[in-house]
Amino acid sequence: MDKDKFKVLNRYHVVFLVQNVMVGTSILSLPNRLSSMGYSQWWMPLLFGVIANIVLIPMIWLALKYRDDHLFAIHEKLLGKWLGKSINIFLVAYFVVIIAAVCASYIQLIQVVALVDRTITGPLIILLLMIIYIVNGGIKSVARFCIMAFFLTLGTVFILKWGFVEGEISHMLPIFNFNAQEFYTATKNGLMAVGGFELISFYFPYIIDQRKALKHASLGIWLCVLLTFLFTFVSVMFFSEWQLKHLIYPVLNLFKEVELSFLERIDVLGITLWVFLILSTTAAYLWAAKRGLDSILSTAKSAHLYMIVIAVYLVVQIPFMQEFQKLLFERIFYVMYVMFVWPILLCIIHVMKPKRTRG
Amino acid sequence: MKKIILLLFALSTFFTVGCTREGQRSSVEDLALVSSVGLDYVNEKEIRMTVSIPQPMGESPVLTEVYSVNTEMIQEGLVNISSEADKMIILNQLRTILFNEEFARSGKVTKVIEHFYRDSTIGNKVRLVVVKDKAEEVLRADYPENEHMDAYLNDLFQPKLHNSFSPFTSINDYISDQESPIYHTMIPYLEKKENSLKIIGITLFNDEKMIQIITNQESLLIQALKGLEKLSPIAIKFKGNEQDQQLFVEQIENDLKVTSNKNIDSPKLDISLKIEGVIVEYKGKRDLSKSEENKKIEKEINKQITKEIEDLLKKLQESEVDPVGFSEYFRMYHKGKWTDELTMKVMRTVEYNVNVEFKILNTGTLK
Repeated sequence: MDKDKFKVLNRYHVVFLVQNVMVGTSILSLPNRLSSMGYSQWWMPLLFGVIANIVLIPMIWLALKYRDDHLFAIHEKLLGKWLGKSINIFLVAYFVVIIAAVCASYIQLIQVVALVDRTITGPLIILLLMIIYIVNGGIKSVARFCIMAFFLTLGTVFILKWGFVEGEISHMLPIFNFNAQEFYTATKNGLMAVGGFELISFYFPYIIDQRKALKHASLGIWLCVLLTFLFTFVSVMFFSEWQLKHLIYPVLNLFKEVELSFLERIDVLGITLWVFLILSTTAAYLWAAKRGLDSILSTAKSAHLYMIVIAVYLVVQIPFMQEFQKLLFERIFYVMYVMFVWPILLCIIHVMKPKRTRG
Repeated sequence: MKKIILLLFALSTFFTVGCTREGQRSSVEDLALVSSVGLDYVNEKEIRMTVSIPQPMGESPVLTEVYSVNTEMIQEGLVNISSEADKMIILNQLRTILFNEEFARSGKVTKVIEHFYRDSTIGNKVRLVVVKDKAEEVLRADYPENEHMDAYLNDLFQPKLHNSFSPFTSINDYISDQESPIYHTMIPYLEKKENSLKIIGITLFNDEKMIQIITNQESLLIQALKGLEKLSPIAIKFKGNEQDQQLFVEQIENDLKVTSNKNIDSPKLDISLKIEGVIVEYKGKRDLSKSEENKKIEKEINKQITKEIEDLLKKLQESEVDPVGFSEYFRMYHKGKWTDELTMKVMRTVEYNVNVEFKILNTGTLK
């Protein structure tokens, strides 16, 4: 019904699309990624929030200039057909790898925690089928799923209580205890925690109230930053510096601290509940990748969706080249940082262009 | 039609996934859920490992199966026991890990605990205990008062108000304290007496090795200095005091304030404890229903607790351990990396200024 209508996203959809796509798996390992800064890392998510919010401005500005085009179309308009298309091809490949990286890291985690003696093929196929199901309904369906996922998983914040009670607030001091090198390493590894909001350049044309999109998207960013901040804060309170450095998923260990009289091993429950966040993140990326393939091939077919999913499946399941795969999954997130500054470059090109034609 | 095919495809995938038999899928009946592991020192290389497995009611003639094996590595030992126990040994339900004293003193505990900590199937609430003689004997013994040995052992190390002197060290606490330069680890010390078990003290670790044992009373003071809010009951014995001999305080609430001078070169710490409690038993000549007498006894208690704390701090300073983590009050204001050496330096030279303020809430309902 809504599929035929073009503008479908209201303000709540925008807030939660931005917020939930950002969460992903990164919270689980963020305290570890920032560990080069020791205890001083606790305020880093706030800094990331500021960076994200600043980077958001040129994205929205550019999108407002091309109200009915997503970034793939903007590329072709600004950079010409060939250059634009090649960049789009690269972008789609990047999306495929990112979806694969998020799925693989989550499924591996599940295997370590919950499904110790099983292979990952089954869960992976089910996960991918679910994503297809969500994306099939269009961007509004993804947005609705994000809202649902947010409220379903909000309860996990409650588990922080145990870490908060047992932790020590004195770990917060001293606030600025790091050198430039440590700060650089932490930023490089941690900034990806706020990645995801840049997808707004792709679903912007579908937003009803485009003028207020900046406000709503900022709200989404800060909602996510607040959650990330809470998890980092409690992790710093609860763990020693050695643990922050050596535990790959510190948040998983926070789950383990929970003591409920009627339930034990809540970490397994928590980590399986996390699937909602993984689904909403990957669904949004898949939707964007599908749009990309549509624009590259200049036709919109639902077969494109399946092509991308098959590509994702192959990337995750390539049996040889495990080393390469690991490296790829680690490095691919740095492309995200390019995505952050990319719109600024496009804005400059946009400003230059009319002058050139006039001249 | 398309939809039906897709649905059938999804369903068949779902069910075939359930049928895959890759690896070893195991049902609960084939598993032996270990509840306690005991580790005894044999020699530099070998460990004697004992596991106890509680049995479901009516399935086995014994309530707890116990297996022992000599091994060099934990996992290898578990595999060896599996072949003996006709079931697969898994640690998902592990509750207690016991070491004997020799093992703890040999400095091998950290390696073993790290192994358990890495295993994601093990919860973080597994408690650690040091046993006076042999851990194997504790696990193999019969306790007529408590049929289920594992439940007894588990209950013994559950936090309750009356045993809050104990640090209840879990795997997470051990790793957290051991790997941090600030703290020194404490683990409860257990002795098997005839047909029961008793926590007779608390062991202190330094440099991965157990170095000494302190009394429960001293450990209680350490908990108070760590900022525990509700303390277990204290018996106070006055020495060289004609008026008072002994009293017993319950329902103690503790409010701790520590301030440091932020200077590592000449460290000073002001420790002030505000304690409130109810006197439930008193042996002495005073009439506690009079308020002046109450004031006087409060002063006496202040003196006594202050002295006990000062003695304890001196003792810890002499043996160069800091289970309270006082150096944290200096790390908080120190720029740069905090190391073991800095903790040692602070520990050796720190001057304590202890100030205790005791307040009697009431003395019971009798006049």
